[in-house]
Amino acid sequence: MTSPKLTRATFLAAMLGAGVVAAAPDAFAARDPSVEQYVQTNATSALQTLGDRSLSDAERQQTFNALVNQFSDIDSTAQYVLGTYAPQVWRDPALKAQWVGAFREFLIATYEDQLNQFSGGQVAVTGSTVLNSRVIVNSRLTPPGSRPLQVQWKLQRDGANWRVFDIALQSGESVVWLAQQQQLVFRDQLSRNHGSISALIQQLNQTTAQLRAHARATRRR
Amino acid sequence: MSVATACLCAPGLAHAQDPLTSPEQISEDASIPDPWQGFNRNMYAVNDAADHAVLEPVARGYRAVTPRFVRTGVNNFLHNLGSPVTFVNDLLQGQVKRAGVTAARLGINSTLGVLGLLDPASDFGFQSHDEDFGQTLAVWGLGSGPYLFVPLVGPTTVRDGAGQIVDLAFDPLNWAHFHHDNEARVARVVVGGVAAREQLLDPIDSMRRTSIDPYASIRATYQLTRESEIRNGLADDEELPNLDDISETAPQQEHDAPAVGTAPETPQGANTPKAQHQQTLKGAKPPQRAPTLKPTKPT
Repeated sequence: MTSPKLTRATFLAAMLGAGVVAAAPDAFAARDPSVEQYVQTNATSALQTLGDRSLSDAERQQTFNALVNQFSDIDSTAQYVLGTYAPQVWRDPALKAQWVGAFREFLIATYEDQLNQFSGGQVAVTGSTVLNSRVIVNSRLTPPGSRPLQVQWKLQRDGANWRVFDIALQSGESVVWLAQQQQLVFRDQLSRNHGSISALIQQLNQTTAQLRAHARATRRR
Repeated sequence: MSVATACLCAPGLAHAQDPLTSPEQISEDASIPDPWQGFNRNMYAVNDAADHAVLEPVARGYRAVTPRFVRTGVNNFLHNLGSPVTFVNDLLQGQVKRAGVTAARLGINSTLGVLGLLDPASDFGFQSHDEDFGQTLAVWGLGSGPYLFVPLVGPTTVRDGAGQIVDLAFDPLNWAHFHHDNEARVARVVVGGVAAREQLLDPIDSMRRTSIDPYASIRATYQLTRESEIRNGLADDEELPNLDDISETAPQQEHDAPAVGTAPETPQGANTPKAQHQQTLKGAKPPQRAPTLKPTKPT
């Protein structure tokens, strides 16, 4: 009869042995160093802007807005997040302008809120994967005194420039793309309010105003 | 847990008969089905109240009185305890290589890692992953079933909730007999709950600020997270938001939008992540998860 101690030792040895056969190199994927550098530069600028105490609130807001507008393909994202509701908005130029404007402000305020926790931290691009017309850039954002967070940036060409279409947060193995998440939320809201884009715009504007107020209050602390 | 789930399901099933919240009115093809949304929103409100009153303050207190390395050690220890469940589900999914990684992690972290408090296995290249029976059922082709929000448990689905119950049987700590075994099991649940809430403090704070509807945001996050977990984090390009593949089919006016029952019919289970993944592996194009439109590039 085997003693319990020996059984445990055998079991653990088997566990260790099984793992030896499990390690294998990952497949090679094409990278794009120029896009990696583009993300590194712009993400670093965004974090520096948010953490720059020498700027007034208005200056910081203006600089950050300009950076996000240049770095992000906001129009495409604004269209994507509406899902099947987008064509009706795109057919009406006035409604489209109203929606894109509201979404732009909401997106910038959300980015600011999310990135504020990393201000003063470091961003390090760790690689990229070229997927046809798009590139996914992997990075590691490390807030001051905290654990790093894996962030992926999905870029697509807009004329001669690359622009960010979506951002994914990685936790463990799972990856959640924020534009996909936002689309699910917006579509749910629209299905509950009988497809009223105006009502959704009003909700977005309220949330944006709350985010701005929170950002101002946080900076005064 | 099974009793609690059954009790929660019963009023949910009754509520499903309410025409105002029928799945046809509130669900779309790409979204997780939420036919009991009225009931779920009430449960979410109960959970939110309990969270503000008890869970969140306790989690903040835990964060305040413990240094980071202690919390990391606790999380490592709890994660290591869950390794047998992951190991069994790795095997049930036919993932022998990943089962090997789990086994190696359990062996290394239980010994060199001082009973799992440390995670040297990651330094040796054996990266952590989680599997559960809900994921296994999905890999076997079972759809998620309706969404459920259970107070103190959080977001789940009928499939994943049932999977959690089965996982209890896979966990050696639940059937092993040892001195103070019941106390140990209770302590594990309590400490696990506090540690889990502490890890979610910042994401939930952020979500409460940035979301126009926290209930819908949690459901969307749960759906996308689970889909990603079931694919083991593998997302090929076709499953990412793709403006080039978007159909032009769209409602003409605000009131006809997203229309019930207008989604293209697919065989049962065809939209499960497993089915999509299998089709991808076979080279076939997976069903579009989120039908949208062809863009006009901004000028």
